[in-house]
Amino acid sequence: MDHGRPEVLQGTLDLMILKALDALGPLHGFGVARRLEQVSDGVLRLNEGTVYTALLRLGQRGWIRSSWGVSERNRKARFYAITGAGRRRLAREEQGWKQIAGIVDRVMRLAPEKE
Amino acid sequence: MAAPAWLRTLLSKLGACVHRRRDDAALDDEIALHLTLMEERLRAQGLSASEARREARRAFGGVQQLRESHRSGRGFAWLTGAAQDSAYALRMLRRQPAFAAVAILTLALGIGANTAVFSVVEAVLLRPLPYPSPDRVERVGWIWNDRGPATGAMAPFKFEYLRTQTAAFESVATWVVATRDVGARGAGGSATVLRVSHDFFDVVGSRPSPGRAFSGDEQTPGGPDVAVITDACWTARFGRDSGVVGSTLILDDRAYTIVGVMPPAFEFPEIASPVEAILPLALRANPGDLGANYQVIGRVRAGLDRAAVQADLDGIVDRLRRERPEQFSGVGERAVLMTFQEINLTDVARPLWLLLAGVGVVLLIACTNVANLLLARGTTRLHELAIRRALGASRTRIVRQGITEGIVLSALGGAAGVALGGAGVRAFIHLAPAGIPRMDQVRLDGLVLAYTTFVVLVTGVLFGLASTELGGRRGVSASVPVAARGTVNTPAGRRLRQWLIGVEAGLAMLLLVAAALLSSAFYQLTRTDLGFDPRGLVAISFRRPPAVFRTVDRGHATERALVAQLAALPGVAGAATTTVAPLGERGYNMPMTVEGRPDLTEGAIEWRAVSREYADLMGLRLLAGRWLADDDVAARRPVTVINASFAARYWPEANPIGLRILPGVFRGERRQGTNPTSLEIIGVVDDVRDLGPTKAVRRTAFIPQTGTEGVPVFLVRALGVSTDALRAAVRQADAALPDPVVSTFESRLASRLAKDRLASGLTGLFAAVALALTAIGIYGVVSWVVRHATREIGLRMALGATRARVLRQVLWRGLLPVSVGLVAGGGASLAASRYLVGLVVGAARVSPGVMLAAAGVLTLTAIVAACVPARRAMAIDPAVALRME
Repeated sequence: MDHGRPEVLQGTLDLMILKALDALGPLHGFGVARRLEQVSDGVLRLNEGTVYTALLRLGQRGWIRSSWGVSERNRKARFYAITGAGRRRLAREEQGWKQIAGIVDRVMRLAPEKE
Repeated sequence: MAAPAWLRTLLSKLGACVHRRRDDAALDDEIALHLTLMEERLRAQGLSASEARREARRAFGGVQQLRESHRSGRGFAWLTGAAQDSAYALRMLRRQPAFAAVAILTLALGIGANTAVFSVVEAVLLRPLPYPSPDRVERVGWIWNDRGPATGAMAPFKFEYLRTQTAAFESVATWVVATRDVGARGAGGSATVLRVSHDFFDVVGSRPSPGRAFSGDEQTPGGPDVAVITDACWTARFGRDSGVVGSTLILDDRAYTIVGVMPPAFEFPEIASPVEAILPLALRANPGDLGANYQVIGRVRAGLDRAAVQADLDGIVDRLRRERPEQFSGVGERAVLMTFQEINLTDVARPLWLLLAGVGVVLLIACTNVANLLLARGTTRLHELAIRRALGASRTRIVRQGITEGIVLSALGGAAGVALGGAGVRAFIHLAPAGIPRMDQVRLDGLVLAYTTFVVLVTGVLFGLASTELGGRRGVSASVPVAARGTVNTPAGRRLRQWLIGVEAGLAMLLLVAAALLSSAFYQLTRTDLGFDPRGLVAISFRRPPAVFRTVDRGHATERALVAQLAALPGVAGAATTTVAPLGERGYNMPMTVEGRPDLTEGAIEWRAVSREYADLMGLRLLAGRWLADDDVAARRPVTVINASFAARYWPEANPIGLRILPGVFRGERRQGTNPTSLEIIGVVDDVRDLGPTKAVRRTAFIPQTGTEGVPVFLVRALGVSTDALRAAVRQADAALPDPVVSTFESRLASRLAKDRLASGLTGLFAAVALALTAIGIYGVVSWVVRHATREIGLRMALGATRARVLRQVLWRGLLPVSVGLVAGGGASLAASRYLVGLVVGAARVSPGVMLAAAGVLTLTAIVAACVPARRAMAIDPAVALRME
């Protein structure tokens, strides 16, 4: 097992999926998993099955919706798309995330005070 | 507006419950596609087919875990969990049929009794009255003086004044109830009819359809005879004939033209018996008629509260008092708003609430018992619970399982209880005294079932907590080894069970004291010395005043002839007449003032116009002077005989013989239509409770019946004389007399006491059930103690303890909590007893005797219940007991 790969923070998976759907338009589960792999340059450690649990959760909250369509090579697939409520949620989350990330970043940069 | 996220989650979860299979299949499709696409991608990167397959699965993670987490995320996991728990609970109950039977039966008793009594309370006390906006329908009554109670009726002149002057009522009407014979010569039996004034249909918010209400000229004196019939009458007497409007209804041999039919929904709960016909009441607002005989019902204008309506009434009465002071006789005489309950349910509401409290206590005892059973089982299941905790079941999970089991148990008990409650309702309706409004509408309806469900849920949750409390609270490390040893006798469990026994004993004590109090009062009541002997006494009366009594001479002649005819019948020991039949519905009272002593004046003295034979027939004891003589009647001498209470009130020391009283005069005012001559007191007789054992003796004056004092009731002391012979005597005395109503005094006495019998009987029944349940509970605890202390007892006996000492010790564990409960329950019953006073006439505060009797019965029951298992402890062989383990 490679120890260099960080685990996905609780809650951030939802945010990343929303962002992926927002950026790329409707995707099936496999597509979402590939997108996450791609943007993290293969660094994220993730059971791809958990993507489906996250998709279910997001669907229940009304942030994404799904419909059956046809994928590459004529296979039946379920496509997920972000909704208006999902976009609003994403905007809020993104802003919150940037703030936190900024704060954490600044704290990490503090040099030890000289006496 | 978009639904909040939590609501959408809930909705989608609800949807998922329905589409479980479809959603499972959809997820499987998605997983399959994902794996296929992944494999293809890996193959394209150069992996072999088998490598690609393995790598795709590895990257995906556990398929089965995903399925499960997806499923539980989709629906309500706890729902499936609850189904599993319920199935498990049912399996456990099936494995212990004796436990299940006792618990379910106990609960069924408690829940059934509650269901039955609550259905009565709901129908009689809680259900809204059947009028549109019933909160605006009010009744107006009359208070005669500051101290007096309100009567639910008014005099006609005052009603008419109120009707024309009121600003608070939108419409106000008066009504009188009467019984009429239906059909030619009464062939159709008798019917309850309502005579109503103008605005009646507006007040009750229901109008005849088909047909119409009464027109103006039909409501004036001497107007045409018209009637509106009710739906029940239309069905029973006309077979719902569509041409009924315009046809004829014969009432008391008069033909009434039917002008309308009330809709089926029309009800008039102000009287207990169902109404068949409504007739117009042409009110003669005669200022001389001061009798409050007209019930008043009105519809208040929207938005007015009761205080505003009462203020309107007060203003009207003040104006009337200024304009017509002669209309008022008492200080503080006024009109009051009265509720339906105040008029119709005064002696019904409190007994019903108390019965509900009583069955509530029975249910508490039943629950305590079942909790005890569950606890006993809980200790034997300690092992199971400990293992489950050790295997990783959370405490919440175990408590949830316990609660599910509790609810399953109480639901089964509740289902049996509802069936039992249905039977109880029928029994209650059968036993209930006549005259309770809406008693015929008592049934198990939605509200009752909701109440029962609530009771079931609460008891179920409590049971669940009780049964898992022991296993759940103890840590795994503590309970596994203890449980594994198989001899569990935790002090905590024993204390809890002893507590429950104490509570049970206290509750049973409460009910026992109540039952002892009420039944001793009832026993006293049935043994009340009425002052006369009711055995064989029969009253012969007429439903309506027969025409022969309209003229004084003819009436007097008929009366004498009938008395002679009746007295001559074989088996009749005597006959007499009175104007007020003993043990009847009501007396007859009139004011009086002592002549020459305006300060000795009273508003309501009971008056009886009786024949000479009355004293002999009733067995009145003469205390002073003489009784009425034949020539008092013949010469129409103005004389009166008073009873002992009357004499004692005004002449406690002196002899009243020869003094005179003025009938109908109160505080210098003469009541209209009364005899202006004064009456000489010629004798004093001992008191007689002729209004029944529940009524106090009233001050009474007897005057000779001369034919001017109203229609007589004939009294006969007839042992073994048939009703037909009595009826025949009536026909022979005067052919013009109608068929009489014949009633025995035993039956009148029984109906006077029906309410008291019901209250004391039901309380006694509840107390018996409580006692039985408590006995079961005590038996259970003591046998549990014995079973689990076998080894300890064996050890003690091996060390030299005597059997008697062991018996005492074991008994003590059962009886200590009982005695604590006795004291607490006794204290509670002292506090509660003031609510019982008056429930059965004569029931006073708790006496030491009653308390001791209840405590004695309970202690005896407890000792017997504890002795049975305790004897088993004595029989323990020390050698056997020590080898156990």
